[in-house]
Amino acid sequence: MIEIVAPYLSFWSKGAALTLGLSAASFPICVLIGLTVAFAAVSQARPMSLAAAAYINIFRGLPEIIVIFVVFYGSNIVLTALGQSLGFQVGGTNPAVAALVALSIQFGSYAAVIFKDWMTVFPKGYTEAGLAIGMTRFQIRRRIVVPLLLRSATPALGNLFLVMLKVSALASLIGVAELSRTTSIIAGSTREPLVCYLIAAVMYLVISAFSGFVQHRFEAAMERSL
Amino acid sequence: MKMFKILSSTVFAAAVSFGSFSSAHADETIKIGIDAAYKPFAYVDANGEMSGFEIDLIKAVCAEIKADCELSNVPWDGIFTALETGTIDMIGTTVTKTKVRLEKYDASRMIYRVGFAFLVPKDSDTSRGLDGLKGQSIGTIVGTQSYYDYIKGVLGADTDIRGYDTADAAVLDLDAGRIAAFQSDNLQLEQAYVSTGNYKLAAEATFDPKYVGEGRAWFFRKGSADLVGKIDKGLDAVIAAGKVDELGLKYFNTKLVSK
Repeated sequence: MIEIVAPYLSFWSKGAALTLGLSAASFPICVLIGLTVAFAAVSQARPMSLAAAAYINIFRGLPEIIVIFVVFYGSNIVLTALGQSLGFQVGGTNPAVAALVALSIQFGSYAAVIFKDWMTVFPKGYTEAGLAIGMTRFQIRRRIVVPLLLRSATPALGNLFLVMLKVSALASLIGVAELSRTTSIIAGSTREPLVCYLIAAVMYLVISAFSGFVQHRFEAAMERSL
Repeated sequence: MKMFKILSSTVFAAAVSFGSFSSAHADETIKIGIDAAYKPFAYVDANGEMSGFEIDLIKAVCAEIKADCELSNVPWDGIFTALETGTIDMIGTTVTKTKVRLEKYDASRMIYRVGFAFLVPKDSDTSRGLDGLKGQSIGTIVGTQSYYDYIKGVLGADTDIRGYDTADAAVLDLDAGRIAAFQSDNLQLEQAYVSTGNYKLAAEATFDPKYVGEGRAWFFRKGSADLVGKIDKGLDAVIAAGKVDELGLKYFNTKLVSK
């Protein structure tokens, strides 16, 4: 059984790299979106906080698969229509880029909730101390609030990353040749579905163990930096 | 943080280079989507290259009409959506020409005709042929209307039909005894499962056009008459040269019915 699937290992590892890559690339974007939206949500300006609340409620409530489909096929339709009216030809959206955008937007809403929750318990004293020594609002955020938020939110963000790793399997449905899609292709090409999916399971575990290790190192580094 | 940055930037670069966000295409480029997870129709070899009957045929036709064909591996679930939204111009997986599909899409000429059959474990009792399957749960590929019509037609309208995403998933349930038979097309069943010695067909395959339809063809968006004309011309020439028979022998050990 193993001999049949063994020659596919290099093809497979490309899929595994893409799974890790998709999440690793999308995660910083989602953290950035999360921070921005969280600040908007606690903002005094009513339109800002309303927009943030709308974003959070919409994307937290939508199934990931629908967001992925809408972003991929929707952007194709829009690009084609734009292309036709403006007279240029578009090759279509790259599925990997569409998945990256969809995951970032969707998980940005989860990250926003994590940050927003931390902001509500953020000690007022820090902000006041910043104001007392004449820092601007922006300086306080950049130099006090954001670093502390990121630090306290690391465990929750690590969790979010693992969820994202698994959800990124949905990108296989729009043709991104990540781990799940690679596995189904190999399963269909070798007729050894059980072995293939077991190997994929091991690969997912290795990837998440690796991410757990990185997170651990990251937390330790944060601890030292204080 | 630095480690994270390096990791994410390299991998992002890899992800982007994986496909191509191609902006300018030559007019004659035909974007063909194919689900290469169905051996021997289309599958990937150990290097990740697509190969199989459909791939070889597409290459032969593209060479014949001197077109620039861009093949991509698109999952079956989204292949018609990909066609409608313009991600691809043609479905290179050979799809059964049904009335319902022909109302919504353009199709090439018939490439080959396949029969429908029921796969059962090798030790099951097939002395009564299809009658023996009446009243039992039958597995098939979800969303393939012609399969559902055939099962209902020969086994009765109230047959318990279970839809599976892939043949492999259905055969796993057949092994587990959750379904009595797996219905699909005879080429795939014989090639993939009967050949292993663990399964057999419950009865001879049906080629009745009432069920199997007008054979299989490539599909296009409505209004692709020009492209269909070009591809048909290529197909005519390639079929006349005996290419389909040759590929049939190579991949299915049988000549394909292409009339």
